[in-house]
Amino acid sequence: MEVLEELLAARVAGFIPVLLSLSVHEWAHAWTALRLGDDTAARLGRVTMNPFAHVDPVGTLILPLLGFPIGWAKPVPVNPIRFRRDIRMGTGILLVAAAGPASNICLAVACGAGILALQEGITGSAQDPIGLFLFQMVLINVVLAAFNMLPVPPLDGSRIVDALVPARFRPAWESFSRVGPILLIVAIVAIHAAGWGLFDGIQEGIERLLAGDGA
Amino acid sequence: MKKLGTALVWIVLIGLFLVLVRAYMDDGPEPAGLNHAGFQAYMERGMIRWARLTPEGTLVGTQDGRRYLIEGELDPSDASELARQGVPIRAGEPRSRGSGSSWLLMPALIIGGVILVLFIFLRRARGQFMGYQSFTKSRARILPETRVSTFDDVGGCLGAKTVLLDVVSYLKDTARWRAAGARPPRGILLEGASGCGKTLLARALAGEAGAKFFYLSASEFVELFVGVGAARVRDTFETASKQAPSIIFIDELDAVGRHRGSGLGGSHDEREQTLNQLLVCLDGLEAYDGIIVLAATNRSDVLDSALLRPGRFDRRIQIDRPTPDERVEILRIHLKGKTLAGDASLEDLAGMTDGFNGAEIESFLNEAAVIALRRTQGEPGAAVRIEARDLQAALTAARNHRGGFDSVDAILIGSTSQVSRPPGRARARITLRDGAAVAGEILWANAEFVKVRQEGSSGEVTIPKLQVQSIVSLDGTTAAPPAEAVADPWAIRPSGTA
Repeated sequence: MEVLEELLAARVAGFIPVLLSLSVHEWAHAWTALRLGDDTAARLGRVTMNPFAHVDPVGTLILPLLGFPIGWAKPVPVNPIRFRRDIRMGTGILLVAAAGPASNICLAVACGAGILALQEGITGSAQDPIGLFLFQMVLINVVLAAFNMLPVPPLDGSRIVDALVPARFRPAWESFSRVGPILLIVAIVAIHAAGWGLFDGIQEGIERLLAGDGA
Repeated sequence: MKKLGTALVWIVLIGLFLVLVRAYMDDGPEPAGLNHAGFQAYMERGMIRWARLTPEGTLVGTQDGRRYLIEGELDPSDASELARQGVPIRAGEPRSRGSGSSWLLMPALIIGGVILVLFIFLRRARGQFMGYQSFTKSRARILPETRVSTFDDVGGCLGAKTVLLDVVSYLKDTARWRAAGARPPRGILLEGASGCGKTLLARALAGEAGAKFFYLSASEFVELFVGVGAARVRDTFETASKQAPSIIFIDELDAVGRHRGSGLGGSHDEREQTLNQLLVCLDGLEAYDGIIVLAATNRSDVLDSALLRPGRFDRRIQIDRPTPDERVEILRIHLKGKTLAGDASLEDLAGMTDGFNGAEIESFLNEAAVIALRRTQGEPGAAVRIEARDLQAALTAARNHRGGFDSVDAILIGSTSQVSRPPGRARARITLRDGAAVAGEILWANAEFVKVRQEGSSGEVTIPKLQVQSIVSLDGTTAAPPAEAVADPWAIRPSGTA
């Protein structure tokens, strides 16, 4: 029981920054769409950073808490037809898709600045919970942004590619799009099972960056 | 308020993170060593937050956020003292973030997770299927008070009104009917072309009868799943019989009442089951008493004969296009709230609207009012009066709109722009080459076809000119010899306009 309780606590704690970052991510999609004239998401109450509006019971709560390496929030519905007339629909989709990762980058930079302002360098340990929280936020937001920019459906990156791909490559892109999601899941599970930290490189880089700048 | 809630959720979650990290994570930098005396000093002040037994010694966390490693095993007396203070003592290796030890738990967690996910999806799916009981529920509704009307709102249809008034009298004075040994009609079938007032009559009956009036469309019985329709019929009758005496109105009965065995794919389909159940409920061993069934259809010719026998729909009321007198009544009803200028009379209007049904008259008058509105747009404040020219304009519009040009004609010749219409009414008798004759109003003609609305019935026929022997005017002079009239039917001038 003891072990389970600790495992659960660690999961919950590790999960909170993810939840908050996802909320910001989804909010950014919804907010951008609203700005571009599509109020579909707004009318569903998604223009909010409140995590409860974006939680998908399975993808956001159960799978991550069980330790699955994959999770997802409720997707923000976007109806490009409702965009303002001065925005091309493709451009609109691109902007809405890019808003999510961009918001994570902003959040990561803000939290990184917070760490640098609060103290010299980071410990990333339990002795410094606020620092740990900020560090986790930086890490997760960079990971989220990077991961979501992968050009594989259904990630945001694929929408951007979709808007930009030249007509010549479209058939190839479309056939890739069809198998993309499966490849993605298989790849994630395989990498996780092989025991490689998916984002160890990113973590190390951030640690070095923050430590170096703080010194 | 919403923003405050969001901020609160963030604060609570961040707080939870900090608390959990403080309480459970102890993987900081290398713990400092502490001798037994130092440990006891902490313990006596009650400053130990947790202890963990590891192979290297006892790891403790203190209130001031530090971690110490005490060499050797934990003294039993110290252990009991810690237990007395309520300090949690854990066993085993300290867990570090993201360590692989969770893989031991993974199989169990995965299996548990799969079961949980399945469970949730099943629940969700069940939520969607929970409604299966409501599938078999009748869709019949009670007509809201605001939608009912009275027989005064129905112009004409005298025959139908007589029968329906019988129903009203039975519902209001059942005892008298019983004393006379009379039985009310079990089912009343209103049949006739569309727009002649079948549904309007039903609505009026709802207002007059003072009994519960359930209405539904026959197509509402039919559902994707076999058996649902029959269950719904049964439920409709059960619901109605609980509130007896009551009336059930089934609109567009032909949706389920079609002759059995006429459909594709054999004889036992959903629609037929529904019909069978309807037959049984109307007059079978489990017939329901105190229910009068009213149905409307404009395809009574396709109805199953069992549906029409006495004891089921035993009154069939044909509702035709209104006669001139009935049109006056209908016009009067629809002119309520509209002001007619002095230069138009009801009788004139009734003459103008020859061949119109109730719905067309209503639309015609409304169109006239709209045209009058448009005409008087520049003079606000003035009462809008419908003048003869408004009516004439509306009439032209209505003629063009209905004009006897249906979908079959559209297939034959394309669009209405390719036909010519008579300048006024042109009644003629058309003799065909095979000897048959058609008499009625010529609606339109083009190079190949001529369309006639037959007198005495509402039927319209499109006749190829090749088959026409001669055209003779019925109420005017024939300005041209018959052969020429075939080529140009408009040579037949209505009397007075020639």
